[in-house]
Amino acid sequence: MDFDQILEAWQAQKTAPPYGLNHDALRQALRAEEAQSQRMQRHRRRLMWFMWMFGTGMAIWAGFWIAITIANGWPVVYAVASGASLGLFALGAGALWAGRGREPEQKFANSLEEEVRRSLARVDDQLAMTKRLFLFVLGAASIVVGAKLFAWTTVRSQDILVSSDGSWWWTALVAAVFVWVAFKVRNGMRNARPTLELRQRHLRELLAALGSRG
Amino acid sequence: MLASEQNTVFQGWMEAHTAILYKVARAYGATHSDREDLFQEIALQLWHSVGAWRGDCAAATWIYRVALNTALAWRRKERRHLHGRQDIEDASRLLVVPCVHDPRLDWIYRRIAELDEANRALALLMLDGFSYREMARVLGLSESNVGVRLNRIKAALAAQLAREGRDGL
Repeated sequence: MDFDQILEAWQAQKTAPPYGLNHDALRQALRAEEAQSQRMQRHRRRLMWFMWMFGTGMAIWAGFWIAITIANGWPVVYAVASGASLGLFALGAGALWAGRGREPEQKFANSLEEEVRRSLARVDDQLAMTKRLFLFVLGAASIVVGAKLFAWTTVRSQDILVSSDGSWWWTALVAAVFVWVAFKVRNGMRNARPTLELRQRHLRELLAALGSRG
Repeated sequence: MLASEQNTVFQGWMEAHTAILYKVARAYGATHSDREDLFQEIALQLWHSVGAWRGDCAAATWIYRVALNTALAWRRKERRHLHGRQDIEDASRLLVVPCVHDPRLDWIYRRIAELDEANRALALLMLDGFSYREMARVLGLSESNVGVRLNRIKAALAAQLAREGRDGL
């Protein structure tokens, strides 16, 4: 056997492929991929839309409440509380935005080296995200506290009678749910770290292999 | 780009260049099951890439680029974990193995599998007759680096052939 014979066998793969392709299975996989891709896009759009609507709505409502408080000459504490809750909503939205990480890309770089660098940057970012739990907790806590403060302002300024016992139970329940979610997120991120670190090491090795001269 | 247009381009590529996907899947997958999984992953990434193709290089070059990018980034368990895709073993088989094996192909794929991942990509492109410039562009290496690496690969292949010739294999 010589090299020419090997090349001949190699080139014959174009006309006589080494495998047969099950077109039905491929079509099925493509349909599933298309559906998954559309689902993810829809989900992302909905989430952004909800965050935008909620944030804008709450900001307008809080601003409106400050204006009413001033116009009606209500105690200044309500205007301050509304302003504080507005600030907390903004802080919450900002912290969640800063901690959101990168969106998965479907673009393709021009060369393998660029592609590996891009993948590595994404893995680095995902790993960094596991350390950005603080931002998630800050964002969620700001929104929860802002909502509570705003609810208090609305209820107190209108002299709405509510049972203080019920209010404390409700606060305790929200705090418990919040702690549980933060705990689950922290565990999920901690479990993902070994896989991500392995992938990071592999990509770095690959980059070193591509970058080494000769 | 419309979904129907994307599917038409993809089908055209699959009809004309499926061999590239087979070769890359075989070079980077250790077992048949791995190859099936990788083949599926490459096909899906190729489908996603249709919109990004601007026609500034030959379709075969683009397909090689996407296939190699996918193969090098591919880690079987991770991909499934990340995307929640269906396990290929649970679905109908994607690749059908033919009855006849060419021992020359088995030999060259064994030699390719012995190379590191970056050099495997170079070996595939070399065997498919890509120029140094095209290989450099696909892999993001300098042409001189491609030349040095290819010389080493060729020398290793020649040495192995000579050794097996001497041993009467």
